[in-house]
Amino acid sequence: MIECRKIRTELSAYLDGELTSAEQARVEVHLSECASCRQRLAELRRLEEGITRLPQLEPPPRFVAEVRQKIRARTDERTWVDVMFRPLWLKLPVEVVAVVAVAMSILFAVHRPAEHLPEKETLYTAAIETQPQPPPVPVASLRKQADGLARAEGALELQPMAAAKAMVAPEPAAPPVAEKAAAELAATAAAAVAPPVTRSAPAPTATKAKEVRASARTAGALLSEAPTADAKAFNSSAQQTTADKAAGPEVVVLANANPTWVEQQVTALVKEMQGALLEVKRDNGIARSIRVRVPTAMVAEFKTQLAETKTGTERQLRRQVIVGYAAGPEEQAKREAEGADAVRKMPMTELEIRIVSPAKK
Amino acid sequence: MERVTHTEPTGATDRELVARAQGGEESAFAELVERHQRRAVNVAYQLLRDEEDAVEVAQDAFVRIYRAIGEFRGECEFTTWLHQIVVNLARNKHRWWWRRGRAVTVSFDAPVQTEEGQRRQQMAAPTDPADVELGRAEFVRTLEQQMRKLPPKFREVLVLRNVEGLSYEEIAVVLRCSVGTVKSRIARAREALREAMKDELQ
Repeated sequence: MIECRKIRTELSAYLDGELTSAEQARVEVHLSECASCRQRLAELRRLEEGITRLPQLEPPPRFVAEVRQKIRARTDERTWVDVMFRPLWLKLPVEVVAVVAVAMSILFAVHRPAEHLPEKETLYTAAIETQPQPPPVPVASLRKQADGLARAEGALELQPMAAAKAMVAPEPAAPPVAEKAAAELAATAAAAVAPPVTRSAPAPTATKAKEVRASARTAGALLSEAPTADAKAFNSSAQQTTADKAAGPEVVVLANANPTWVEQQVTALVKEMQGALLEVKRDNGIARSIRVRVPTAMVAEFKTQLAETKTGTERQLRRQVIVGYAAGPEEQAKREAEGADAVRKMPMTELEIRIVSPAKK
Repeated sequence: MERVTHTEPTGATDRELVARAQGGEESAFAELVERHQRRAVNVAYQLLRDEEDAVEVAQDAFVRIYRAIGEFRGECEFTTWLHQIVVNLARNKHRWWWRRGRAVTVSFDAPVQTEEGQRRQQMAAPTDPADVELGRAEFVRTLEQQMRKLPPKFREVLVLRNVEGLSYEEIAVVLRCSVGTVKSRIARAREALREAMKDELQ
């Protein structure tokens, strides 16, 4: 009986021919005199034979072509980091979008003042426009000018003049006009070239810095012979404008009867997107206003998900879908580390979420 | 890549094809895919028992190989490497199912309806209508269900051993563990399966 127990642990390897000749001989001697072990071996053989007869699957005819396609698209595994940093499937459109976005920001910075700014600036811009050969416009000064514009806008906003209001952005608290328009434009361009997976507006992000810098140079060249350093400065200015210009964070009003639930959801969302929870204003312990910082590229996604906090189920599902593409644990940890690093360098946007009761909305 | 829609088998060994693919020859890579697609798809299918996921996993495995082929030093066979990647991706898929709340160990009272129905049809109409054949088909069907209920680690070794016919040593390379581990894991897997199939084995 003791021999049986020993032999049984070896039967599987015996079946596979993975025993040494000595071990094999011992098993065979035992088998010749033990019916129950022979029975067991027969059962293992039947299982083995059964496994080889399991239904098989043939590759579909389009298999090789699809592998080729996947190699080109590089989308076999898209984590949310990928979704953020490679919002488009192809490399070219990202560059095109970046060039267009930067070019538009510059155009806005230069042309907006001509419409409604104090005389000094208008003259300055007009001077540029009327010169037969535009002199090099240092981008840094453009930036200064843009800041001036923002202040002017702020001033205009305070005046109850209908005309003035018509000239400023339709949403007073919205991010700076130039950036917003650029983002919108980028989104339109993206829609034209990208498959429908793109969810967030593909604003130029840190990882695309190289391309953006290159395109900033190109865009700069369209207007003036701006030196590279200036182009670089401009590149960052496009992102800094939010902090420089905006009077406060964009306000998202959310009608929900359960502020505590909303707070939980916002906290989870912010954490998920590697943003930061800045401030929670409470009224009798109940959250009324939450100020957060999220990656600019995730703002649209953030708002969408926020709108879904009513039930919670949908968001839960999405999160799992996003996480689901991740690879093995080590690789995932590596990716997350890389992601976190990339997130640190990312342009961020502040938002304020005001929670009102559904009736008040 | 573009031009090579059909690859004629050249009779080159995997090693030669890998070397040529490393040199940037797209057609050599295409031939590797062509040659091993069946193996990749079937292993994935044995592990996952889901046609769509199996094809996806197999394709993703080739995409990974394409990207990493420059780093392949030939310490093991190409097929071993392929097995390794397919098994890993299948494991990820299991985790993914688990995260999505999809039962990995399926209850067979309510299985994937269509799939099961189709397969039952296949089984119910054997070429030889003899009772023996029917009994065997029934046995295989139950075995398939029980295989699905096994922990993935057990299923992996059984598939690599009995479907792919790998030696313990090769399995050890694929699963990155010792031969001793392979040996005991296969024994335990078979024991678990034998226990689950007790009634059918009588």
